[in-house]
Amino acid sequence: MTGDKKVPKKKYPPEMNYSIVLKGMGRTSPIDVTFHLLMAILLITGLIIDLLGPWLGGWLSSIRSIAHGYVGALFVLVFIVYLIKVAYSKKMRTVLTVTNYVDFLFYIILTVTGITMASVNWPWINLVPELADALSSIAVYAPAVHVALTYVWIVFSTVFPGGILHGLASVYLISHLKKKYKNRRSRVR
Amino acid sequence: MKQKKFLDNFGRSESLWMYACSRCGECVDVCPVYEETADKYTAPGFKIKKMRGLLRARGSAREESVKKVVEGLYECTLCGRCWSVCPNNYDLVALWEKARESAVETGFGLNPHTEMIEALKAENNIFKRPHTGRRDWTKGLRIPEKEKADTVYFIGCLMSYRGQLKPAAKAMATILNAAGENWTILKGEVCCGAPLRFSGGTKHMEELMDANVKAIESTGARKIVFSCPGCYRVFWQEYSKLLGDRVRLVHAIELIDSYVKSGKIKLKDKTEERITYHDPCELSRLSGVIEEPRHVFANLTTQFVELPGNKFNVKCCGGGGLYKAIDLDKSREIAKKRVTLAEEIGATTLTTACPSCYMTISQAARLKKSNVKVIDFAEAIAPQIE
Amino acid sequence: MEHAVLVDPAKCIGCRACQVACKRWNNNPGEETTFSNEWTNPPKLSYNTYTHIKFKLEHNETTGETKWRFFNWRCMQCEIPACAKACPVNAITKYEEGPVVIDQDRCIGCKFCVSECPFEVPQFDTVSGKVSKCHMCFDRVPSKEPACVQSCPTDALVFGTRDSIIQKAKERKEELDGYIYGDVDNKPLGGSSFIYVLDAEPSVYGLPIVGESLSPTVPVLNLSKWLLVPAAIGGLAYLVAWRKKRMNEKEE
Ligand code: HEM
Repeated sequence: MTGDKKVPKKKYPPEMNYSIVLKGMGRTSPIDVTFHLLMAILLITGLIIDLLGPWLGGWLSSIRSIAHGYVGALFVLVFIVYLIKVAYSKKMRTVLTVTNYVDFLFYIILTVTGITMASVNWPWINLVPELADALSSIAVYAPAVHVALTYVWIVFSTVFPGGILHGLASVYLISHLKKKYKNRRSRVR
Repeated sequence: MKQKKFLDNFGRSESLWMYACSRCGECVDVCPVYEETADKYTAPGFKIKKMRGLLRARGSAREESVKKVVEGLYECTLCGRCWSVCPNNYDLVALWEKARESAVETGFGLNPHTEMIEALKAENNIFKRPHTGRRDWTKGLRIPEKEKADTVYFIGCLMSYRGQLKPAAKAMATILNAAGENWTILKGEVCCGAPLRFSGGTKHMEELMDANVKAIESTGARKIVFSCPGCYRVFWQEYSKLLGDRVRLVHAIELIDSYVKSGKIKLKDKTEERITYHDPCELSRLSGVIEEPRHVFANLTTQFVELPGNKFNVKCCGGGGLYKAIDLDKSREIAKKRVTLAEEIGATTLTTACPSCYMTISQAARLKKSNVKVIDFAEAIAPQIE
Repeated sequence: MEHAVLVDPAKCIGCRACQVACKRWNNNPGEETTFSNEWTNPPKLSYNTYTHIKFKLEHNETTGETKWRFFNWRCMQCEIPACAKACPVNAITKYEEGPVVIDQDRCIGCKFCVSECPFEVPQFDTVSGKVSKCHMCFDRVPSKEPACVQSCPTDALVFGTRDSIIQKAKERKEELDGYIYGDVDNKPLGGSSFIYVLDAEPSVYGLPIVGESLSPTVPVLNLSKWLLVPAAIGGLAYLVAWRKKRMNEKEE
């Protein structure tokens, strides 16, 4: 496994800024980046719907259908791939914590309830009566669970170091180091 | 003052990093020590996970768990391979050094290392040998010791006290003389302080740095040459702040490359020796000197072969970060793999540009009874000078 | 003043004039459907079909008799509409006169109302991405009766003030020895503005048993956002403490 990857252009001591981190993530694992990106979009659009709905009203129609609906559907697929990747990646399991797994559970419930709501506009769902029945039996709880769990997750993953705190810390750290590393010594040739 | 707890020295950057770490696990698979030990506690990402736990426990962590983490922290060659794959590009080498510093400060430091720190305080070298004997190696060699010179050759502890490295130093002297350099070694040279950073004794670096800076400034030198990439890195990272930009810091390899390019030294016709080169982590990855040795080899031999897993992503020889003091056997196993690789590519000579790599790899080659000859980079050049 | 409609399935002859009147008043297009076992067409409520007569054929094995039941079905116009409470964009309003109306311009098609309605009335449309349902002809009442009521030839649908409708329902209940669904005997979601007087148990017509108050899922849906307040306060306090600690360290 050593040295087979393309040699990244890096300099020690390292610099830090958003483009470096984003490029680094892209190089390391595109599936991770997609997963994070889609999830952030879902969280933000979801919160916009729930918090700003009374003010923005019908304007949110396309946000719901495209930015949350279609992106959500894509997220379901990417998330499944991501979970499979985690399950088969010993190195990831070495570094993931219990909180990360609880986070995954949150996402799973969020996707299941999301799919339940979205399944109303899937005509083909009737081709699989078992699935249609299963989903309609939890339909009453779906919106409440979907939304409430979003907030519970936000609190949970901040208090315990989960996804949200990880995100906040990343943003803070990059902004902090961007400034701090500006006047660090590098090798003079 | 309240009692210091492990990791109390973590500043904003380190504490934030504990949470910002992207947990991709890239560092786990590439770590040369983890590959050898297969012990989770030596996996870089796992250490971060455990340190995060300790940081959150706010000092209520059990002593055994702290000990386990500290042991893991020292089972590391500080080669920076983890950093090289880190998507966040976080300075992991500095992180490991900082964590070791905290271990020493809170009394969790491991024995060989704390002893070495004491040795450095008392005798200014890592081997607990008398400081007065630091220049004994020059006996029988004509090494200049001038008051004033243009160039200072900074020897470092390993070359000063380890007899096996004498040929390397001698070869370097030959090269400097051949290039017509007005050079000297330092009378008042002490350890550069890099081992203090490796061991966690960073606090005591100032004294050593002051002594070296004074000695260098008294010679009026404008250039300092290093054979040891460890010394080299600590110089361009730390000393350069004190020395200012007027003093040029170069590693021997860079210097030789510039000699060859400018014609200051002329090499004989190219040989047909199958030579390979092991990139020292401190030099290639952490200082960025990668292309220079290859230029030189191109002028030296027609048969230069690249060692697999080299250049920026080089796999450590196992001798870095004072790992040898923790687990000599494992360190040698890692080094043996490098020798095996050299054998596989059919190299007859394996060169390196780091005294520590040289010691580690040559011992491994001897233990392996390998036919590959391990020499220092300078030793390969010196005989070829016209 | 609140108004209501009395539905009397015993009087319904299944002529579906109400369906036609509803489509015409609301300018709703017809639907292309396929053959189904519902005895009628369109087979069920949809985005463009606000009201629908369910056809039910009962066959008594012992007497050999058969009996048709025709059942006018659409939104109940609840007093405490779960759909309106669940709507994140406040697109659904309960009018003073009784109707519960979805504002098509505000609707974002989130389908929370679809999930929360115990009667499974609101209908989502994939094309427009919005939800619709019967609005009790809010654009006619109370000066005119709803279109369906106007078109009913047998008075199976009757429009009036809520009080008068309840009075009528009680009288008719005596006649039928039946059950009043929507008020008096039960009050789904606070009572509905469509009130049924039934000649059989509600379950015979497939009417669900619905509690008088909202299911707890709706307040959970509404109130969970307040979790952000303690979280934000806690987060802020933590940040301040953290900064202070860092400052102290710097001074040391
Ligand atoms: C308060 C916050 C949220 C609200 C109000 C909300 C609302 C919704 C709505 C209305 C739908 C149905 C979309 C449709 O049918 O087109 C939906 C679906 C979905 N939501 Fe959310 N959501 C929120 C947060 C989240 C979060 C944080 C996630 C991320 C894990 C998420 C993941 C999904 C998924 C995967 C779907 C299924 C989409 C599909 O299959 O088309 N939601 N959500």
